[in-house]
Amino acid sequence: MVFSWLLKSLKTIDQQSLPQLKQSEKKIPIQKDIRATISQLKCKLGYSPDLIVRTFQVQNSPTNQIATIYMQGLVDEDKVNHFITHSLCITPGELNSSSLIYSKNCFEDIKTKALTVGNVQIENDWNNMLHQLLSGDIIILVNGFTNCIIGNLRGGERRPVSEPQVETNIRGPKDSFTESIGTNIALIRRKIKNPNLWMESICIGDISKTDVTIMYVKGIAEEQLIEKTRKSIRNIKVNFILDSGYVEELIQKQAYTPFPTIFNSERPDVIAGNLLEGRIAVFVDGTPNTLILPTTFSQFFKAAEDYYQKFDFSVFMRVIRYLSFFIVILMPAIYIALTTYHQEMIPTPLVITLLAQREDTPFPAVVEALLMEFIFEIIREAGIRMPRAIGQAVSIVGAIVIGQAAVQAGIVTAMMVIIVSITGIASFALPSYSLSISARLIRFPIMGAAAILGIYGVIMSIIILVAHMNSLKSFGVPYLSPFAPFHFKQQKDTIWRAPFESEKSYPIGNDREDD
Amino acid sequence: MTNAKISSGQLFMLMVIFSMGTAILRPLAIQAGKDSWLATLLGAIGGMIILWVYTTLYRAYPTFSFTGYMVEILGKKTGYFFGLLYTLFFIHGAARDVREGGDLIGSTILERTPVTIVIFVLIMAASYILIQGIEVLARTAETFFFILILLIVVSSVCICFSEIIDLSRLFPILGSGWTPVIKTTLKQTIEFPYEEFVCFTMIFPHLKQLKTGIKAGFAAIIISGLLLSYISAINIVVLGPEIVSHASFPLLHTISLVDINNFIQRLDILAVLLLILSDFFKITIFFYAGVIAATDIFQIHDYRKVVYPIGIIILLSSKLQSANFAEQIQEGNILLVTTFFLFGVIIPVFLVIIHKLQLKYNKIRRS
Amino acid sequence: MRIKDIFLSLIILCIFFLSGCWDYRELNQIAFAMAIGIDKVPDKNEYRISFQIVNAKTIASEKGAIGMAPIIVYSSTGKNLLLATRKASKQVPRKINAQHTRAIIIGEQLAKEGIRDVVDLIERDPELRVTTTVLIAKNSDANTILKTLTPIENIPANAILGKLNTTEKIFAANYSANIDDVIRGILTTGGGPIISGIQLTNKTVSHSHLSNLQKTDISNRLSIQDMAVFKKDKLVGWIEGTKRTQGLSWINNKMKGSIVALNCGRKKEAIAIEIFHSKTKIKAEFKDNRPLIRIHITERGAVGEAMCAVHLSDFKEIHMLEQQWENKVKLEVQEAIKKAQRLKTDVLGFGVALERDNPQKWNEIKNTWREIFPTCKVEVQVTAKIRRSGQIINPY
Repeated sequence: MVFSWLLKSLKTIDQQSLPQLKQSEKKIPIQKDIRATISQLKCKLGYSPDLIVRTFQVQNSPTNQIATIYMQGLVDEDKVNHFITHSLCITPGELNSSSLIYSKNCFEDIKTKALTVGNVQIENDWNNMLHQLLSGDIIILVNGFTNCIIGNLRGGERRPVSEPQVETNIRGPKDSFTESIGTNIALIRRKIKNPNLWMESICIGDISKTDVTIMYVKGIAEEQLIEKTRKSIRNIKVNFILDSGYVEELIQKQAYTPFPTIFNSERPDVIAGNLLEGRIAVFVDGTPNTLILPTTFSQFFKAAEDYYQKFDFSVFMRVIRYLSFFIVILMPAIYIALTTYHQEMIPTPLVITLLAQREDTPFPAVVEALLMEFIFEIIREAGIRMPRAIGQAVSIVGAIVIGQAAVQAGIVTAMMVIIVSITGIASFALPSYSLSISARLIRFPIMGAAAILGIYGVIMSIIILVAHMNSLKSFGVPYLSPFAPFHFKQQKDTIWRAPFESEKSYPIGNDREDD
Repeated sequence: MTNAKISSGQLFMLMVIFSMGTAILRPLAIQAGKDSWLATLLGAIGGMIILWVYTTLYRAYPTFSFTGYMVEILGKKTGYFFGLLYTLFFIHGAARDVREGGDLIGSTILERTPVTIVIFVLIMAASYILIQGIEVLARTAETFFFILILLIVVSSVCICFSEIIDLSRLFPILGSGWTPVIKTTLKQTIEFPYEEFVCFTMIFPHLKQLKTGIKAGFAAIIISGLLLSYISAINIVVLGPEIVSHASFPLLHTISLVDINNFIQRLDILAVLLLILSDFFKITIFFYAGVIAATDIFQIHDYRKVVYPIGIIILLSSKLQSANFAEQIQEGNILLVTTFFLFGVIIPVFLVIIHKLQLKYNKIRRS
Repeated sequence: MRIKDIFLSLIILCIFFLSGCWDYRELNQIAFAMAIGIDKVPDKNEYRISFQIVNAKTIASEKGAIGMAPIIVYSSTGKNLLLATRKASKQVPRKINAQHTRAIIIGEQLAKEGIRDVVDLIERDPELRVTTTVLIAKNSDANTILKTLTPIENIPANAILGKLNTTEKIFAANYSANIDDVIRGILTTGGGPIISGIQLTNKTVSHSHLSNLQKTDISNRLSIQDMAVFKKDKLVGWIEGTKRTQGLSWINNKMKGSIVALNCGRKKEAIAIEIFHSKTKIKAEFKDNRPLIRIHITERGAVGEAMCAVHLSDFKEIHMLEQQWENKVKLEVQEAIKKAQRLKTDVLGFGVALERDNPQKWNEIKNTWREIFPTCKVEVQVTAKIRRSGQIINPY
């Protein structure tokens, strides 16, 4: 009884429902009285100091005012004045004098004049107006009208497009996504100048109201897949979305798996390449990591650079990456299995050297292995968190002192340190961070199996792992295609990367098997 | 159950791995001496005939599994009775293979571990795969098929490079005449492993396409016959017929002789890997056949509920199989020509005959 | 249902962890035996088994191990070998592990009484590998051989194997036999295996002391000597002398390289021919109801040393040398055959050849092959070619 309650409460991070923070869905009109509207707005936003309200008197009717409202920091400050001046026909320098004449048509006049300066919309719903205001648009209210004019002047301080932080490359484009969804979409548009590049924008997150955009190339991507993606994103009911990781977890079907079934990248060329192969990209506002679905296992071993270097080198590097994956999951386990169960499989001179190293060490091989692996994970985590100033010192302390000193003190064998370092370095060779964290996780149970049942345990764990991978499906595509089910033609781009003359983009839709 | 679909290629791979199963372990057809490879090839021809019987039945009832159309042909009471017998037969087959696999691991790599634990892990892994579905089994078999072929190729290359082959041991071919070859073929190689393909009759309904599936089946028998004959030949060529007949696991012995330049040695682990993998798939397929037979007979809708119970039955009955290794082999030899023959050949042939008679009877009735 | 599944699997996992690991052995809980020696205890009907256990610290030159011998030899006796091995546990601080045994040395006395029982243990036990080399200790017992320390190679087992493997390739008066060959030999009708012998020359007390290794001229050395011929599983005799043992190598197609010394005019054995390729084919047939064996040897070599005046640039001279070579080989082979026939054991593969070439006739005579073997007629045909003569052509 108690246990089931315990586990239920630990099962998912339930975002507490806060009904009072959710905005109601029904339409509320904007009041005609501009003063009432403005005070309502200020009250709703908590008299926030970054809400700027500028009111102007109309020449012929002093009681009727025109107000421009915007959030400071979300609009492009340079263009605001220009916009106001031109749309309201204000001559700069003169005090609050607008050459506008208040009349029934002045709303239309303002709108026409505003069009010449920027993108405008008419809105009459209170909630939508609020949403646009908070997104960075400028609102023009005219007393006596229930409509408002919304001008797109979004701007503000944003991180400029820079080099990718995580997925670096030697050759190829060096731009990466930023936190602004508009910039990201534009970066893709620049690479695919095709009218068939379609996108749909959905707003999810009841409190955070985050923009999520689905992008695909019409004609290459499969219709059913697009519909499925649309539906799954629309079905997301959470309070806030801060990163694409939230979206990834929420649209993924199988939760209990160490393997990532959705790919993410911060590079526009990777996303563009995948779009052209028929996949769907999901952009989330506020994060540079963009999702690609559906994904198969082989996707995580492809680096953008494979396509920019010659094919023979790319094939070689791909083989090395696959080998690194197996090294990360299997090397410590095989070391434990061989030295404690199957000593006959090690060549004789090596056995004698290992024996000499083992003579004085106090811990059994398993304990040593687990200890060293955990310490390595701690060092790795520390490496991410520490400030750059003391970075060098910590890495020297971590790597050299702990490794060297431990060996010299006779606490661990030198061989163990070598194995752990090779495993660590191999995990950095994997191009996708999501896969490398999976691999780091998987190796611990396999080490445990090796410690209990030797190489038989390792073999059985591999069988179960492969069976588990085969049971995963990423939006209908079996996770291990094109290895199983085996499609000969698709082997063109898994381990082997065919030279460009023969390569055609292969729509992945043919692989999908719906449940 | 019928929603899951497997392709012909996957069926082919499943059948090849299945036939390699326990056949690689044992000295196959060694009563024929140097010509055991010939006996194996002839056995493949017999295997094709047996498969033809199964596919005739499959063509007649493409959406039913074996126990399904047994009920159709024989009527409810007899059908269910035989279905129950078949469930027990499949469980027994799985338990036998489990026991042999366990013995192999227990006598080569994990000596002091109780065999129960080894078997328990095997059954747990098999249950996990079956709960995910036949598709997962087919895809896993596909993944490991390539690994198995790779292992065989690597072992062959190592054996070739290590100068332990002496082709003269194969000669003279048919030195003792055709009699021992024919005798062994009839007594052993036709039956083993082709009689055990009756499990696949439970898997046929999952095929996407009937025609290519059947072609894949026949191709699988040819390929597996060639593979088994090849392995038999390698054993003879490296060890000689006398040593093959008195070793428990000749392939293991062969691979342990590999020694290239004093560096590449002790390749036993490759052989053990090969044997564990192929035995594992054989067990899983027998297991699956038993589960489907049970769901057909007892009219259970979700076969997942039966997997764990049948798994535990297999585990327990594998302990009850035989008291020791010698008994296991002797029993096996007798069972080949009695029980397995009955369930694998005689009853299906019987069913085909009755089915054809029924068709004729219906035709006469109509006209 | 999911939560229950998780719990169930957790409980099952605990079973694994709580019950302990059965086959788990740490490296420092094992004593690796590099070589095994088996003897018969005189007077008692018991076996003595000796293990050459490696002392890892001295090999890897860790601190604290200076002045210690690289190996320790433990031995114990018992009515059967496995019993004797387990008894040895009373002296050895760790469990003896034979997985890395490289050589098995059988004492001469035991070999004379029959090695079948020894071979059974080696084959049956999964730890010992079938590729382990076998040697017979000549004129001594295996225990003594194991105790001898060797220079250059720290571990004497490696030294012994090094000697055997090297001489096999360049002198071919001995060749190595592993357990597999021994079994095959025992199973041959009317024959037996051939195993090289190892001898300790100039045995003194200090052969097992470290002080033995501190001289530049070590008096007691291990050397590979002669070949032991078996009838079934019993040692019936030694084939001694370079000529006959080389002859054996030729017949059994084990000649990988050697030197043949030819006469030059009056100077005996002044020219050395280096053999670098040799292949032997044996064909058997029945003539006048007696088996006739044809041995055909093809060889290629080069002139290695010429200590007399011979015109090596004249192809006629080369041709004469080749003929001399062929005759010499024929002689050596015939001597080897004579010795084997005298010992009445078919170690030369004649029976196998007969079985291959004429199986029906073989089936008739195979039960009495041991008597028929000495009556075989043998025809030896040698084709020898001298291809090169080294860096210079004519000697000074």
